[in-house]
Amino acid sequence: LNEEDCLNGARNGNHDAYRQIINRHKQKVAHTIFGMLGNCSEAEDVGQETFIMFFRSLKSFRADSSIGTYLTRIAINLCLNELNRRKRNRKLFQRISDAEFSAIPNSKKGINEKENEQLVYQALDHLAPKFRSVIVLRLMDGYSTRETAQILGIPSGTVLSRLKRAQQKLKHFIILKTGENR
Amino acid sequence: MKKKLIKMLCYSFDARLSPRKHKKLAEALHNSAGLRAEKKYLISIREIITRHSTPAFSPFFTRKVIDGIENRNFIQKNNDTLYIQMQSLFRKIVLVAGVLFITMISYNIARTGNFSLEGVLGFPKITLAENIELVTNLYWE
Repeated sequence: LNEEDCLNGARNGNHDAYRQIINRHKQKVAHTIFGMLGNCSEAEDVGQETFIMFFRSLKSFRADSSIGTYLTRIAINLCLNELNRRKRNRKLFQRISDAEFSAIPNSKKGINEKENEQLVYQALDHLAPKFRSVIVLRLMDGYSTRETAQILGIPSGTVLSRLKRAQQKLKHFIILKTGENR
Repeated sequence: MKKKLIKMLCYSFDARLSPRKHKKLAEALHNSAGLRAEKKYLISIREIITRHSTPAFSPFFTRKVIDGIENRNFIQKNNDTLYIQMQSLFRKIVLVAGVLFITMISYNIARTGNFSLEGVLGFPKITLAENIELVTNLYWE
């Protein structure tokens, strides 16, 4: 079945057709959700909720955008809700203990080493949701600047400025934690 | 390093710069070792993020989603059924009450032959004098 047949089947309540849609898009949705929330237990729940919400909105889905983009939009919104919930519960951005930081080598050889990859991911965890979402969509999911803007419902110029600020924040975080004086 | 050049450098990764800006950035990159280092640094960060491998959902993810949809449909259907049952019960109650009311009115009219409100509703006909006497008696008691 092609995408349209699956969509029509799912609209008529055919769960096998919807199963195919899930199997086709779950990896991309996982990429977005794990990128936004990190590897946590809530990620799978948000993933399930994303596909359940899409199923419930199938009748109003007019295919103006692709299924993947639409799912990503739902996933991003649910992730932002989850991050807000964490913030309310004072769990947002779990602080990395000093012990963990001391385990990261204080390298001055650039950021190509394996250990420093970890540092970039930690820096990413510390980004505010609005910066993190543009980084996830543009760099991890590979959406264009225009698509990222459409998904987030903001102008392309805002995406560019957030990307710039996000990269600067990542750089400052890494410099701060490694003590590199570039 | 000029902030404007850094901004231009960052934008150049995600948008097409105008020929004038592109030329300006190329010249700045050629002349400034600091800006070249900045570009290299940003590319490193972007590459690390781009090749970031994310875990997959659990093997039973699809099954769980379908179960979730079916469960919600079941709950929705149950709610709908309860609503329909309540609606049906309410209709029956209204119908029975209506029939009783009409029967009562018919009975009262047939009994008294009176079409006034009191007659229809079966209230006893009391004159004003009787009313005053009743109230006075109640007061003295």
